[in-house]
Amino acid sequence: MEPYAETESLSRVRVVTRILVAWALIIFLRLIILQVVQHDELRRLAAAQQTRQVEILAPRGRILDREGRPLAMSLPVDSIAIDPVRIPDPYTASNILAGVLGLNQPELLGKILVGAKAGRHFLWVKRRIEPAESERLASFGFDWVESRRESRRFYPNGALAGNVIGSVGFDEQGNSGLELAYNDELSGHAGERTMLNDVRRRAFSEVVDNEAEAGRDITLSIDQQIQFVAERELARAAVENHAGTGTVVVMDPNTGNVLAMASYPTFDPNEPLKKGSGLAARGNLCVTTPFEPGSVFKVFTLSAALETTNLTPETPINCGGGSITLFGRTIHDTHRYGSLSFADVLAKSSNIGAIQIGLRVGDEKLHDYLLRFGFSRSTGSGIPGESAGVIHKLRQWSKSSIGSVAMGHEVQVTAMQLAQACSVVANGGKLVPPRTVLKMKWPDGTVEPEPVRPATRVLSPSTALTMRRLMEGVVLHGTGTRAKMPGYTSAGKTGTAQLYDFNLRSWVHRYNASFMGFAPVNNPAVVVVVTLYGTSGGTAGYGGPVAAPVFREVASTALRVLNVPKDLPETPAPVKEAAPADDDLAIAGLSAPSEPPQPEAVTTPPAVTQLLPAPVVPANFVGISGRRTPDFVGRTLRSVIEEASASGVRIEYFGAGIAKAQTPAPGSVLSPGETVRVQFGR
Amino acid sequence: MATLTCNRFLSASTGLELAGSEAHPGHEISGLPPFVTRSIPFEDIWFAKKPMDNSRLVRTQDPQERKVYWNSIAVLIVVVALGIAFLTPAAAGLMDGYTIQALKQEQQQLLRERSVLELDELRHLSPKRLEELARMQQFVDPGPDQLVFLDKGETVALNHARPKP
Repeated sequence: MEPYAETESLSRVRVVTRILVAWALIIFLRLIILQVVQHDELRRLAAAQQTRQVEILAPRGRILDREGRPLAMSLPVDSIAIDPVRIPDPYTASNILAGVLGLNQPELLGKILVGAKAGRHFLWVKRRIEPAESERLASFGFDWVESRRESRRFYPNGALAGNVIGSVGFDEQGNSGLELAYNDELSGHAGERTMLNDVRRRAFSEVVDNEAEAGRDITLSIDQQIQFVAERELARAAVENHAGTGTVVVMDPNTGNVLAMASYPTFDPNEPLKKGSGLAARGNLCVTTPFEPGSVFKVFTLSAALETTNLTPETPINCGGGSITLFGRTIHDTHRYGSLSFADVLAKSSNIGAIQIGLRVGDEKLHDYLLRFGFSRSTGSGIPGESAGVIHKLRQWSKSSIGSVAMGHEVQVTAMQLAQACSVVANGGKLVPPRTVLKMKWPDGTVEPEPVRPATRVLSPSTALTMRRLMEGVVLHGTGTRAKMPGYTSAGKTGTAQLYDFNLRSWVHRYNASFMGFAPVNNPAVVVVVTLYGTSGGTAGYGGPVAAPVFREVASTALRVLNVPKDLPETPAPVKEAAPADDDLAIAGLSAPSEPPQPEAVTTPPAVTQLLPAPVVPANFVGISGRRTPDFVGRTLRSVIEEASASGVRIEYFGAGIAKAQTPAPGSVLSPGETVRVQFGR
Repeated sequence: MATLTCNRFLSASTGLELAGSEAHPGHEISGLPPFVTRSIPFEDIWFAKKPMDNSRLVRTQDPQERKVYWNSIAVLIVVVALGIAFLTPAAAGLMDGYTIQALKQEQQQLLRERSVLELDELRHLSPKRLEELARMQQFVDPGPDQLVFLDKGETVALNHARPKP
């Protein structure tokens, strides 16, 4: 090769080689930049393009009634978002969206314009829309509308049991009622999965990163049908009697299962919480709001007396002609009774009689028994915000407190506590804690029953049976005749507490009317407590005319729903209209009725023994002694019980059907405390 | 340059005389006067021509040739089979993935529709609505000791509920 040619060729080779090396270097550098320097960023961008994270919804558990009917359930619904930048015509878009979703068009247009101007690619339009709205919007096929799946709580029965179930907030977390109390159990844990997409964003594979865990289903002891009737009757009575609030509790006295808890006013948990209205408006008044029970409390005073004293249903009680002066205070009865039997004190709801019996029991024992009945402590129903009520400590009692407490004043109890205490009488003397949740069901199908809390004995069975008879007397011939039900025997006690207006600083003619009872008498299946706060209309606003009819309707429905056999012939029971027997007002007004109780104002109280003369049988009192035995032969059990209760004769019966024989014989003189044995047969 | 290399290779290895080399004896590029330029580019490239007669050559049968062919075919088949074996499931899996995802979406949609229908059913069967309907149709609860006889063929629900004899 010649030097010239070699030089030329080599230089060209060198040039080309340099170009190739430079090209390779550029590629190499680019590869380093792409795969090392920009590795993470490019990997993220690729992942964003090829994959997408999708939340796996974990539905909140359902709340069911005792028959498994859903009271609350969560459904997957769509939430609508838009890309303001991609909207071709904001004005038209806002018109369409506002029309379909029920939004304010000018407001939405403003948001879209602001979002588009700011270059935002995401704007929520409406969260958790109705399925129908979602379908309508999807039919337009807008590519700038994004639909995201979320969960929403529905209450198919509207306001039914709203105060029991409670509600959830925007994030589907419970904010009141059982939704709050069992929020952890009801809430699910959302999962997450990675979807692999093709270029057209169609998923062809997925990887579950975190499994979703659905919430547990909770079965309540509430019965939807009984709850409905309880709310309906409560609302009707509240409107008719101008009551501000009211409650009804229906409870199985043997198991403690709460079958219904109605509050008035109620609310629809489907409606979001309005601004300015606190959660207190969504509380369950049956457990959150204590009140002065009034005369229904006499049941517990008399129960304590039967347990701790030698008083019997036939023991005459001096009612002092309708008034009593207790440590400087004068307490009046609505009727002037000279003397009543122990049983009639309850049937006629004599305040003076109850005070006398309370004095016989004594402060300490009465206080002890009230605590045994479950007052002054939470029932543990599991509902948030439950009040323990108020039974003052014994050292805080004034000398005259026993007089007030004996007839249901100076104490505050909740309707649930009353139901629990009434169950003691109904079930034979045991305090059975109420429960509202029967069981929980896990997503895998495992059923976990709620533990049953142990019952404690409060009354002896004989005392409980006696109190049943005494409470039946209230319904048969006392202040609660409006509680009579066709087909079933019933027992109960009315209560009326006059309200004190703290603004006017005086007692007003408004009442807390209540009724507490159970049915059937011999084998109680339901306990029903009715309270209406702020009734008016004089005696027409008392517990007998106002609350007892609610008891009748609710209890008869509950017995029918529970398939409880009838224990009376189905003959319509004539209901007596307003009668003096309705007066059960427990007057807290003492010597100066216009003043609230002022225990500290009592000075130099006389000794109790001075106030309580020995029981004296007045001339007009038809005592047990010397009474002749009624003739029960040939009469039905119902008729015999009515007659015996009215005449104050203690009976003991055997069998069923028609009375065939009795001992002692009809017309024979009964000795005090003697029991008439009646044999029934068919 | 490739031609120069070829040229030099021919000269050195074959010893053939390049055509026209006599015309430029002792040709020295470096010996040219500096003002002389070449008349045409690459004039120093020379082509050699050597006629060859291969007609007498006879192709002999290679005993290994058939085996090589069959081996090649077998290898090709195996490679194709393996390719199909590996690629087909992947492709089928991809297509199945699309199908599964579509079915899952459909399942979710159906579950959602069922939930909505359940909700509607519950709303329709709520005690409040049933009571309103009963009131509108003037249904009343029978009183005590009141027997209600159903007219044959006129009632609907209760007659239908009767068991067939």
